Order: sequence, then C-alpha cells, then structure tokens
Amino acid sequence: MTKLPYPTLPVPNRWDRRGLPGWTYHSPELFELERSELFLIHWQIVGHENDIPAPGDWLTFDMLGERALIMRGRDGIVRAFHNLCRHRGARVVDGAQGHCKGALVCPFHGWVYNLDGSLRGPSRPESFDDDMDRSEFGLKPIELQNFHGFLLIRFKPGPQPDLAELFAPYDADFAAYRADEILPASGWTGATELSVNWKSVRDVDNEGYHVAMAHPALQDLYGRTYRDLQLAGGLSISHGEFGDAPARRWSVKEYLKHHEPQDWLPPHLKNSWTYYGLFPNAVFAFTPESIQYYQEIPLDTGTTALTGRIYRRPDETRRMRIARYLAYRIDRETSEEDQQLSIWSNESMASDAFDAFHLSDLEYGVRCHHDGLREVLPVMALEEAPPEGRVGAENARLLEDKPK
Amino acid sequence: MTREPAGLILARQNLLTPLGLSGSGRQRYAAAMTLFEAGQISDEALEIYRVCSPLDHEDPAPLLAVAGLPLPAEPTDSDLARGLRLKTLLAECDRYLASLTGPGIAEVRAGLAPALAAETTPLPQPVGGANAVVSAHLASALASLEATHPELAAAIAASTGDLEWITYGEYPPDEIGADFLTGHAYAELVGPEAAIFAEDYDLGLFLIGPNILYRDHYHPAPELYAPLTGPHGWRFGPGDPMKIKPAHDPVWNPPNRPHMTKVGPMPFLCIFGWTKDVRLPASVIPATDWPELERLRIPAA
Repeated sequence: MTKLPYPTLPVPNRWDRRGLPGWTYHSPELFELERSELFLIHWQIVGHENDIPAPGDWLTFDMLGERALIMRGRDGIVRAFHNLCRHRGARVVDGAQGHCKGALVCPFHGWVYNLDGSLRGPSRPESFDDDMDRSEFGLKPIELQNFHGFLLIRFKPGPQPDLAELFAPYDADFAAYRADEILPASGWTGATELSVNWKSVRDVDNEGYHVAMAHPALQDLYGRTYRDLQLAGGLSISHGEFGDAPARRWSVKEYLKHHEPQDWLPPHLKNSWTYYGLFPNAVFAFTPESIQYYQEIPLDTGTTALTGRIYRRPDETRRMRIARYLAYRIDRETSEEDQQLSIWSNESMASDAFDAFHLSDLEYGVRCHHDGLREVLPVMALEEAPPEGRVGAENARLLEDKPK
Repeated sequence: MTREPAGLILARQNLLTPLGLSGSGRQRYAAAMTLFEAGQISDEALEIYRVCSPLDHEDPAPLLAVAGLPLPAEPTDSDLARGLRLKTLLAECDRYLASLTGPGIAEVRAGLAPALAAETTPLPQPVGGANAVVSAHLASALASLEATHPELAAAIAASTGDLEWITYGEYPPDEIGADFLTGHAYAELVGPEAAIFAEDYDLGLFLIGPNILYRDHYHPAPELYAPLTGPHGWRFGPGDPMKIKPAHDPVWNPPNRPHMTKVGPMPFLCIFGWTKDVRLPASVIPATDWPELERLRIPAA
C-alpha cells in the first residue's frame, strides 16, 4: 500500500470502546446546546467560489434558525452576510442560489442594498431621521474564509482556528488536486431529509469497518486498501486505493475501465478516493475526476438534512465525465446503504435494551468524533441523562470543573 | 468639466430599463435609490419607483407626470455610458450561460468572471460604420430571441451600435466558401482585441446569414457555441451525419474537434466562447459534400 504523508494519531492499545449514551441522540435540550456550542461556532462549508463566478451571484446557507447569504460583489470579492434586512429582518434573497442585478431589494418594504452589503438607501427615506447613518445599516457580515476555493463560514466566533491553520495537514493535497480550479458539475446538489439525529449519520460515516459488509461496490473498488486515519484538531482522512484487483461489480468495472490516469496527481492520490473530515459534520471527498463535499444539517433532534455539492475538473474529457458519472453511481448506492444504517443506529439509541457501542479498533474515528463532542459539551459524557431543563446547567457545571 | 461618476450614469441607464423585463421594476427602483441618495431625484419620485417595482410592466412615467415630476432622460451617450452598456450585455450573457447546462459552460463563465468584476472601461465609438451582415440579419435574430429571452435580446440591441462587428475577409474563398465569407459577422466582447482585454480568452457574438454553411474546420481552442436562434445543423467530422439542433442547445467543441454548422432559415446568432489557445489558427477540413450542403435548406422549426 502507498505510504501516506499525514501526521496520524495512533490507535491506543486499550481504549474506552463505548460510544455516546443513547440520551444524547434525542434530548431536545442537548440539541439546543449543540446548536449554540457546535454548529453556530464551527466552520460550515457553504460552497465553492466557482459556484458564484459573476458579480451578483449568490448562495444561501440556512442552519438552525440562522441564515447566511454568500454573494460576489461588483468588485469580484465574495462576502457573507446574514440574510436579513436590517429594517425588519426579512430575507433579502429567497432560494438556494441565484443572481441579482446590481442591487438587492428587500421584498418587505424595499430597502435597497449594494452587492457589497452596504445600504444604498431605505425606502420612504423622509420617514426616518434626517441624520440616519446609512453605514450603520449594511447587511450584517458573517465570518467567511476560503480554503483552496471552498467557502466556509461560521456564524459566531468559535474554538477552531483560521482555515489555513486548521486545514494545514490537508493543504498539500488540496493544492495537488488544484481544488481552486474545480467547477460545479450539473447533477446532485441538494438535500435529502432523514428522520435521524445528525450524530447517527456521522457515526456511520466515521468508520470503514462496515464497508465490507454494507457497501459491496466500495468494497469492490477499494475495500482491500481502505484506511481511516485520525489527525489532531478534529481532522480525519479516509483513503482507499483502487485498481489493485479486478472488479466484480458492473459500476466498479466500468469505472476502472473509464478512469483516465491523471499524471499530474502525486502518487498517493493518483488511484485513490480520499475523504477529508471537518469536525463536527462535514467531509470533502476527492476522486481523480470528481470532487464533492457533504455535510449533515440538523433540522431538529430527530431530523437531519444531508446536503452537499459536486464539482468536476475544468476541461474534463469525455472519459473523465463518464468516470465521474460512474463514481457518482457508486456514491449514490453507498449513500442509500448508509442512510439505512443511520436509521437503524438511531433507532437503537431509543431502545432501553441497547447498552452501548462496543467499538472496534477500525472504528476509532467514531470515538475521536465523540471525544471532540465531549470536549465541547462535557455533559455528553454522562451515562444517565440529566433531567430536561437541567442539561445546560449540568454542562456549565462540568465545564467549570474541567481542569484548565 | 467634471465627469459624472459611473454609478450615476449606470443608474440613469437602469432607470430606463425597458418595461416588462424580468426584475426590471426592482432594477428601476434600485437605480432611483442611487439617484435619490445623490440628491438628483426627490423622495416623491423615489416612492413612485418603489410603488411600481413589484410589477415589471408597471410604467412609472404616467405617475411621475400626474405628480408633475420630471421624466427620466436618456443619459448622454458618453464613452463611459457605452462601456456600461457593454458591461450590462456581458452580465446578461453570463446570466444566460448560467441558465444552460452542459460541458464547457462553467469554463466559459469562469473565464468571463474577471471581465465582469473589472472596472468599467470607457468604450469609444466603433470606427467601422454599419456592418452589412448585422444590418441585414440581426433584427430578425433578435426578434426571435426576444420571445424567450427578452433581457438578453434588449442588452444585445442596446449595445449593437457600440460594437466593432467584423466580417473577416481574409479567408481563402475556395476554402471557406463565398457565401460564408460575406455572410458572417462577429463582435468580440472580451478578448485580446476586444474592448475588455483578456490575454487568452475570447467571448463574443457571432452572426451568420440564413442557409449559409460554415464549413468543416477545427482549432486548438476549446469552444462553446451558445446558439440564441435555431434550428441549425451540426456535424462533427466530414462524413458524419448532420444533427439538427434548436436554439439554446449549446455545443462544446473540445480542442481540435472538427465541427461544421449549417444555418437554417433563421439567421444564426450565438454567444461564442474560446477558453484558451485563442491565438492559434483554425484550419478547414476538406469535404466533398459541401456543394450539396450549401444547397440544402433546413425547414423552420
């Protein structure tokens, strides 16, 4: 197997193989804490700068009551704002993606904003004070950073560092993949709603132990070489190499037939599918011919939207396009299989009879993710659920008691 | 004399965005806001534009007249106004491309992005005078386009007189065909020779008269045709069967892919984009059936 150039954490000889307690998957109060302490203060992927190439192009990203607008200004700069008018809070754009010509006009009362978020002017200006300072009423900015073309935001400051530091172990690979050049691919971009807690989706995705059993296509493609690697800072890399053995399944055979070697990729990425995790809820996935990210957007305690976008190489050849389609087919099949596993895993969390996970060394990634969650929300370490109404207070107490 | 800021010239142009175009009500209102903030129209006039903004067909002029307020005037046709019209045309081309799917679209949009974000360049009046192919055929092509894409048709119409339309006469006539030689015209919008400079990228409008054959040829530049009219015939190598395609069905030619276009009864108007190697020459590929194809008449859709 190809030697991989990542600073990997070893799996300990002995470790606590239990997962999170079942109550953490269905406590409404814990979910509120996850909202404020995880999702709104950790980096979220919202797209790629080539999704919005022209001035006035925009994307939106809604999460747990907050809503972001990511827009390219007349000057070509991409900025992120809260998608709410400074007058009465209406959405200034509606939909997932679009374009506005020169200005945003709030559909509620007609306040007008420039493409850089500044207020051009309020409607019925004579009905406001003469000295109303326009500069105080621009759209509220949201922190946005760009990592090799990918756009990430966080609604509030949080514990993760800037992307350049956070993603330093990914930097060489993203540069090698020329991620800043990728272009949106027509096809899947959207959301599937699943009736599970978001952690049940991540618990399945965070380990490859189940691949041989649950994902015949992936096993056929790269199961023999698949590795899950844990890195510091909530990062993880999964890596599978293909082409070392003849395939048995149609989609994999066809993929291997149409795969066009990309000589510009370094050896460890040439024949691999590689996944780069972002704590707490997202993954970038690269194959030689396609790129995607996927993430879980929690909607409520028991409902999760699975979203993401797919990209392709610029100037892709017909063979690459076919290989990308076949990779998509394999992924679609895998995703459907994972969704079923997530449902079953989530169901077990509500059962009085289920004791706890007993994780394999091959599932150490699940443990690491749970450790990351317990670091932020130590109340998740309690085996017994605190009474609803006390979860927040208990968490605050545990944070207080935590050795500094 | 001090020059009026580009933002105000653009606002004056946008205030006159034709009625009925999608989003035009808001565009006029947003322009009115710019002019109000600059102290050039009253709050009463601004409110009339707001009242009319939800309905793209609503004409503010009668309401302005009733209120005794001045009607918007055409902006002075300065070099900067021409540059702004070109930027509006580019933005409409981009919006049109964004509505299409298929290979090459994202490449052309990515190449166009720097031009869209660039400062507006003043655009001097073209020196060549009216182009005969444009005079003969553009109006019918735009009339056809207007039915489905009025914003793009309006932007092309507004900029036509600002552009340097070229009927390239240096091809060997026996190679390219006499009909094509005098029956085509193109205008570069962005490119090495265009008003908006790009080193190795080319985007423009291409017009060919009805029933003309653009013979088989190839070039190293990857090329997108986004046809705004139709139908037309295509083949991708001499001897291959010809496919009839409608308007708005883009064709992406990877580098050196042979291609041929047979125009139907409607003039062929398209947005073309070359994403690299734009200075490398094209070559004609001889074929024995050109006379037959030149006589062919594609029926109207």
